[in-house]
Amino acid sequence: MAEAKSEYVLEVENLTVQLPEGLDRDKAIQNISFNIRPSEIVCVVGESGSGKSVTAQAVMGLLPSELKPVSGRASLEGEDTLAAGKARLRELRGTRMAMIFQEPMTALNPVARVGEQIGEMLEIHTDLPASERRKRAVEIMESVHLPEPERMVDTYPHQLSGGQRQRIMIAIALVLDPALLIADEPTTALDVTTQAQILKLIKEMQERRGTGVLFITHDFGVVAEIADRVVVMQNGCVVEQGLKDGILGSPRHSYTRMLMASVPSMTPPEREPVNGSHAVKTDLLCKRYGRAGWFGGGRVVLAARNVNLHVCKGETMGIVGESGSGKSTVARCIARLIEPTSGSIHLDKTEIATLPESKLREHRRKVQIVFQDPYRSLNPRRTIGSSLIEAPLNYGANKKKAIQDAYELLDLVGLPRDSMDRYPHQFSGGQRQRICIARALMVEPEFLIADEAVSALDVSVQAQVLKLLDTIRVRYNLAILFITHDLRVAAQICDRLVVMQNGIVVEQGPTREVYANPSHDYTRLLLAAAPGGNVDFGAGAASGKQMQITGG
Amino acid sequence: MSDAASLSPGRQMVRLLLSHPSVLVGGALVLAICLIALMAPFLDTRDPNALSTSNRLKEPGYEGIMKVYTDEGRIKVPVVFRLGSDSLGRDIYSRVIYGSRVSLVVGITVASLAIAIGMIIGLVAGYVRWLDGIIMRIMDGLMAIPAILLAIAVVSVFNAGLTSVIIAIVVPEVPRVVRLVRSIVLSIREEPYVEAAITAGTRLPLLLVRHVLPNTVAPLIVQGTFIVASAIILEAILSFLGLGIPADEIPTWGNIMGTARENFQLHPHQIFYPGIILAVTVLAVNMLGDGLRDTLDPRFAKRM
Repeated sequence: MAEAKSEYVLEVENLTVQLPEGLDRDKAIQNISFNIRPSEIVCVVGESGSGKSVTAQAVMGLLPSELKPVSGRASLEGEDTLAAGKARLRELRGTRMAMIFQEPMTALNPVARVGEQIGEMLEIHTDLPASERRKRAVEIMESVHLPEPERMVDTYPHQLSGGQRQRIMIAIALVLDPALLIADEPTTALDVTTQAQILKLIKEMQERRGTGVLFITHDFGVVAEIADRVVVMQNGCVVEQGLKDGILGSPRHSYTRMLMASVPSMTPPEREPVNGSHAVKTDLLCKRYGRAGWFGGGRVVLAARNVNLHVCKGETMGIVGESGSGKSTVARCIARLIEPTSGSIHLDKTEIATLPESKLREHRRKVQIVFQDPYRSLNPRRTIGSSLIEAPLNYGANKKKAIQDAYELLDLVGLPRDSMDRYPHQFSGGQRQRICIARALMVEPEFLIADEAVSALDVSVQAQVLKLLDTIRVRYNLAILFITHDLRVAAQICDRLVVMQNGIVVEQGPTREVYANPSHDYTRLLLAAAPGGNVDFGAGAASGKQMQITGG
Repeated sequence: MSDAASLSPGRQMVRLLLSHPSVLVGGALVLAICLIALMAPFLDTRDPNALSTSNRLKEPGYEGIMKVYTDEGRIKVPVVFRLGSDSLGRDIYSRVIYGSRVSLVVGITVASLAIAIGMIIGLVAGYVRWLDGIIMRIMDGLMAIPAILLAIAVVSVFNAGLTSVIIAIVVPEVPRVVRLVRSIVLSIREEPYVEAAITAGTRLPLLLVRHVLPNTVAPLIVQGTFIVASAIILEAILSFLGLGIPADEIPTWGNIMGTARENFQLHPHQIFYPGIILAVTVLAVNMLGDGLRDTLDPRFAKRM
């Protein structure tokens, strides 16, 4: 077709990339085909390991050397990038296609001014003089809505916020007006309000410049927010693709349906209020970080200010807020991993905020934590079994009994009993998180803190772990403090909710009430910023009921 | 689950190690030198301190007569000076072979002591926050003085001898170990699994031994080999300058070369042989260390 060249920015046809031998599958991606038109945003969604990023790297010619494209084409405005030589690829990158990444801090050079980094693109690909390059840098910074571009052009990346850095990345990517922009999870590391702004910016830039965007994400909320068309990937294959409304409204493939059913709904289900006795109660809890320096000028941060909250037995209390809001600080104070600066913490009627370490030990058993990063929360050198029985042995349990308990808890969290003799590296993220939950339960705690415990997991795994948490809450009449930045997850699992901003509790109440009638501006802002907030992915209502079963 | 994956991390490491060429070559050479030191009396050597006025300053391979006192009185025995003799008629071959003992003893003792002391101080500095500043400023102070000067100062306080030499070399090596251990402790104590152990009620000593210390083993083994090499060199320097172990008590590579210095222009081989074996030993230890570093701790390789 003669028109083919003008019709699509990117045509990917039967692209297959081989993996090195000895892995769990032999192709990273297999027979992938999709197209992107100018001014169109195509979202590639899938869970980790589905081959989304490999697809992007193959198109950009950035595949690691162990991965080889073995067949297919990826043509950028009619030119096959897989066949292009190194020099040609370098020319194309920047001028015709550009990429932005998940972590804007590591993607920017920390020792170069941001203006220089934008100018570098112009320096490499154009003959513009230095003064002109600077002018263009300021212009593009203005168009991505950075404040005071004239001044900011001379700042270093560490002086900017995460959102501003991502704007700089977008400015670098777009300064030469590429036909194709590849965005690999560009908002995953950002706070929800910043995410909303960046999504809006990408949409605005793409509409104004007619850029085709390949947007890689795991988040269906983002898809609902930004996509024109959607490509769903699983295990390196495209299982379904089509217009956004078609895919989100009536998914045909069972995997798509499963994925979307796993996305928690933004509408909190009806929940019986829990009227247990207080397991944990904090009064005017404060935590100050840093201190005045020896020669003055020390930096002091109030990470938590006068926090009053309580969690009842058998209740899941959520703390939501953006990064730096102090939600983890509160949790770590309650677990006494850090010392509160002032205020009191009552754990089952004992004041533990000021207890010295020697007397604290008997109370540690009652508070257990499940951490965010499943890859770092188990000692890689110790078998699962020895990690599980560590705490009971510390409290003088009989070893045989502890091992027996460990087997039973492995059954409860749904892992085979032979996991006991294996090492953490032999398990997936979701499995490790189950192990961590089992470890926390070994000492029969009264209070469980889940610090972003499902944030690092894929949605389908996330749904399973949430269900497990709810099961153990009911079974052990456990008080759970659930910390998350994800409002969808919070809506489904929490009985009550505390909203924090800059170390202050701005609002608290029953989850349903907070979502329906937020009283504080910040809560309203958070709720409005949640991507795809108004969409309840097909099975949304159904999954809401599903989560509820265990509550009743 | 495949066979390799079910091995403990320790076993996998051993497999990986044995596949690294510089570990194999360096390790074999170090082993050979250890064997030489152990087997010294059986390698056709004589008393390395036996003087023979009639056989002074002989060339390698010289066949002479030596007077030996036995129960039956003074007898004359034929002897071969494989690597020649020094200015007091002592057999250089025997002295070089026996000298390996001192070098290895100094190297290994210094490394063990420096690591043991450095590990304890490093753990304290990494875990007890208020002591950290004080300890690290002292360590900075020690590191600011060149190792050889510090060693000379320490030796001149005590009497010259094996013990004082070892102490003299341990002192400048300790701060390096402290820094290494402290930096590892500081990063590991933030790991969620360490925090999980705290909430599990693990007491501090056990916490350190079980969850923190294992992370220092690989870097410390690597650092240990470099300490061995630098201790061997430092000992040789001290002995060469006449500040270390006296030449008439125990032969060391350093004091053999020190004695030979006066006759260097006429008899360069007297310095040449101990010099060669010293160089080979240090090279072998360093090769082993490099190999261990590459396999045990790739991140450490970038830090050096």
